[in-house]
Amino acid sequence: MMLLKYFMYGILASGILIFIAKVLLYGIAHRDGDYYERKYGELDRASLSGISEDEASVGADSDADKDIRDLSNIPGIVHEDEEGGGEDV
Amino acid sequence: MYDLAGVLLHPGIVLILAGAVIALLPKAASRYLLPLGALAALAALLGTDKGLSVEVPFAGELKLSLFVCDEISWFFGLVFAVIGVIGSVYSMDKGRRGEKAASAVYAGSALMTVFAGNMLTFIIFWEVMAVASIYMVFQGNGPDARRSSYRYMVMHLFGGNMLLAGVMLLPAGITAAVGPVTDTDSLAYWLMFIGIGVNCALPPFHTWVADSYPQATPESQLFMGSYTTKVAVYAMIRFFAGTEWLVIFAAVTAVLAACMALIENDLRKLLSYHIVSQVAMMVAGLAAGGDVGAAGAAMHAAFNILYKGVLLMAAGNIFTALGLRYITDMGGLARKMPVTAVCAFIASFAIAGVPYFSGFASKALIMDAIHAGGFNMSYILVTMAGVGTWLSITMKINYFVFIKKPERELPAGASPGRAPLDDTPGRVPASVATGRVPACKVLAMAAATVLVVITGIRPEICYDMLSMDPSHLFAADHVLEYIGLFAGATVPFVLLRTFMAPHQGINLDVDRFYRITLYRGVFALSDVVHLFFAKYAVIFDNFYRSVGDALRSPGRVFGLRTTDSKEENARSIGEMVHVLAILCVIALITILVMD
Repeated sequence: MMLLKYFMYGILASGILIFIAKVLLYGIAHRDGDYYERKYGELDRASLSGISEDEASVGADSDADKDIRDLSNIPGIVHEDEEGGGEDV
Repeated sequence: MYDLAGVLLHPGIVLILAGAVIALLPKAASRYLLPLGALAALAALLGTDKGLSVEVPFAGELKLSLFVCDEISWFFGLVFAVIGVIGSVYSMDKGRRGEKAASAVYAGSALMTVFAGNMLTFIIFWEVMAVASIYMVFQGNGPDARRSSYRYMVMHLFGGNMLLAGVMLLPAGITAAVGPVTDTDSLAYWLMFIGIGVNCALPPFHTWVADSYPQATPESQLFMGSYTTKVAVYAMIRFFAGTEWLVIFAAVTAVLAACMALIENDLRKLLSYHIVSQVAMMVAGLAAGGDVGAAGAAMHAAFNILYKGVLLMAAGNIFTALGLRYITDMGGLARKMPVTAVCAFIASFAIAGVPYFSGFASKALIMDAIHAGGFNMSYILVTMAGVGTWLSITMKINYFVFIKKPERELPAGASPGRAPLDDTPGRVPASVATGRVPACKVLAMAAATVLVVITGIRPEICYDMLSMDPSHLFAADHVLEYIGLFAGATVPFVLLRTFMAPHQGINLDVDRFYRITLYRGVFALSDVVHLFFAKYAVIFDNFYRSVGDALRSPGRVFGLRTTDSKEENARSIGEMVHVLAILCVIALITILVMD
């Protein structure tokens, strides 16, 4: 009986939390890219991602950033030292 | 005279010195020096007499009280030293000297803070921790990290100054011993509370955790997730244990942070929200009062460092090997990364508090303290936060990251996995190209997982250290209560698993205020100021030039000679004088008002 009681408590608690998170908080907190693009434009898009407008435009043109963005170039750039072994993915 | 050997063998000093050496020696040496320094600090701690008291003169009559130890500080010190070793091994594949030096100084300062005997020592190393951690965020993931480190700096300088101001207002000032602050009517109490609350990630000052930690490198995030908030929990135990109004506040925070984690798509940000939630549980426990509450908070902090460390290392491994940050880009990783998956699986059970995993043992003490204090609503809320942890970590991470098949197959090598609003390039580890997790990272994660398993099966080891009684821990009804709760919580998740999938985008918390509202406000104010000065530019320009001319050639003032100084030089001097004059007027008015 006790197990069943706490099982029900678990369902209840889980349901309340999912409602708070995925319905209430999601509606308040979550913003997708298109929404902000339409509403605020590029400037706020940059502020939300944590960079200034200048940095966003300058960064996009720099060679280093191009290398990082272009995944085909990843083997060609060395950001960190490597070490062998470990877990192969 | 003071005990020089006692100073040099202080585990915190050992690590800080190691950081200094790392900063000076060649890059290649830093790989091995950080683990060596961390091991030396652990050895120094284990070899230190707990009754030892170390004081050194500071300035005038002031003294630094470097080592005062009791059960709680010893327990925190031991866990800090252990995670220091694990973290240093985890970062052995990198040769980034500055970051490693900062990590050593940061970990050393955390040790210094928990063993500090007076407020002067406490505050000095509290601030050193803040500075070192700012550097660690700054060294992180590209432009995002730089911007985030500025916000982190503002938040922590604010907190540090609040704490300092509060301490200065204490009757004994900075010479006061580290101990309870109980006068709720005093300004000192509230300033200190805000100062420590910032580091404790209590709302509305909690956003820096989810903002900055994911921007740091995985190695730095492991260190930062282990120290700043946990030192703040230690400070809460020392200063504010038994603050009853804090129980419900912390309990609500624990639930809301777990809910934020439930909707988060960035794996490392999700874990950061869980740091907020778990720290709030610790605060609820210590605020409930009594030895059980303090011991529960201390043990939960210690266990959290271990199992959260494993989860942070697992997330770091995924980023290191695949370059992935967002859960929407992941899926089926258990097949690709079995060791990481198993470790994360064990840690996810521990963090939720499943019986026979470590979180169960520490959470039991917190729940006992809250229950004994008669905080019934808080008891329910903290239980719900535990269910939220089960949903957002045990269920969500294990299912969407490791078990469920990915929505789309990733290209061999890597995927940037960027959300629409976070499309700035970050630093991609070179290991992404090889698709391999370095051995040191696997070793560190496995070692931490072993500790999680041991402390889960044999929690009495830690109970003994804190003089707690573990006899009722594995009572049948207590175990069944949690099994029933988690089994029940699984049902809605399974039924709604499609609905539970995270979405691309960005989740804004209270940081909406300073990342949008304040940002736009500052720009608007800047426009107004610009318009004003543009309108009166000629007047200001002439004023600056005439003042500058007069200062460069005083004789001109009396008509004795003319100047041939360059106009721009004169103007800059005029501007300087203008600013100085404004500052002096402000200072004068302030002094007059204060008098």
